[in-house]
Amino acid sequence: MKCSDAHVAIGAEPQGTSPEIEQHLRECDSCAQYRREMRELDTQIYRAMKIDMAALKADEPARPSVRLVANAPSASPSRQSWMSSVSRQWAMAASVLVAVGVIFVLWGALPRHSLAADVVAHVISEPMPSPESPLPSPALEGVLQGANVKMDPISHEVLFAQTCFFRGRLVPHFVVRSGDAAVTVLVLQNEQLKGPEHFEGNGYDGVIVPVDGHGSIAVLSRKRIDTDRQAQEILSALHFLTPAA
Amino acid sequence: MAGRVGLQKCGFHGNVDRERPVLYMIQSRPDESGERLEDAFGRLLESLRPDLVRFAYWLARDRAIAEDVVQEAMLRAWRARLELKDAAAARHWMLTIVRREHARLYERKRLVTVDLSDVVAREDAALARAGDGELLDLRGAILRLPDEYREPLVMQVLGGYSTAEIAKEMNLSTPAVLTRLFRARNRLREIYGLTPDVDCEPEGQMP
Repeated sequence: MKCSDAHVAIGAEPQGTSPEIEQHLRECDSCAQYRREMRELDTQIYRAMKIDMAALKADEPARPSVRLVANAPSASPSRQSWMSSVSRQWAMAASVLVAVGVIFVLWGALPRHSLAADVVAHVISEPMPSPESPLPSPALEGVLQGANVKMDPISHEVLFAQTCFFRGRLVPHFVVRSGDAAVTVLVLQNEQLKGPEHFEGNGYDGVIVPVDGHGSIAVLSRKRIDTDRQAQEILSALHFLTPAA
Repeated sequence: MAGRVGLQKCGFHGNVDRERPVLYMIQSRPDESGERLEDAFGRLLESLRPDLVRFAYWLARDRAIAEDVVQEAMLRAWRARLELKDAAAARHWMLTIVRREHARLYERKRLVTVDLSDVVAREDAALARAGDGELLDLRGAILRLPDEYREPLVMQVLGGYSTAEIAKEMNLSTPAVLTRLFRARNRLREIYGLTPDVDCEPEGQMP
């Protein structure tokens, strides 16, 4: 074997070997050194390629900031006036109690927060073309059929329908037009909830509504709309063809 | 029984011992627990995602495209999940789907042509934030490698493909793949402070 042949073979596969190469290396210090260098380089190439993709995305809004929104109405003026009437010490004590309460609420809400964040992250990452005309209904039917779901005709135009990979499952993802708002719907048959979860973040307002025995559906929009009403309308049109879990 | 994911020591395109996830799924009878098998398959795909995105990134040199490619690849894999007979081969199977999906992307879409120096500068900045500053030059050099050299190198180093497998995937002869791999590393030698070898062999003229 010539040195040039050995170099090409080693350069192509530094970790590889053959009787011919081993024989040549025993007789040629220069090629043996070349292999040591190439193996070291190969280790560095592997290290260079083995980047932490999560760190690489650190400068991007990889995970949207989504917070759950309380379902209770906001504080009334009478409550505000009560706050201003009590002494500073009582207010501080109350603040501590409220803070403790918030911690407990957030603690209980963490897993669901994650689902809402995943929903928003998915919707943000999904490139949705701007359709000039509504989608023909068979397109949506096909997407829903893949998940054993049917939907009665609804009053909204369907703008987009696609099967997406979400949390390890294929889920129907479609967008309908409601007035001048685009409303995104994800049918999440494997995501169970005890009650509706409202969320907002990254410019989206939405709700995840449980579906009895069939997981949940997420409804969200970039515009301020009544997502509860939209969710109920979609929900009443959906038919799940598999038995309830 | 549902699928399981484990870690095991194994070789790295040769005889170097490195830690790498080896995924295996214990097959369950579809008539008995088809639902659980789907769950296991979903988890399997999710566990592979970081490797797949990394692989797609080095092919595409763009993080957003890499994410898109992997998403499409996962959809394809899900639809074809019954074709995966040996779950131990899932990683290789998925890498091949990602690689083909990446190739398909350029057939399907007319992507905007961008200046390579802009791409490298943008990715360099992001890579610098990813740590391991000492490897930054090497990463930049890998990004600058022409596709025909970078792709087989990524398949071999990150994907663990054999030369014969790369040849089959890229529709090349084995000697042509060996030449490309040699040239790829030869270009990186200089970046690493080593004297580049004299390359006088025409492509495919290997011993």
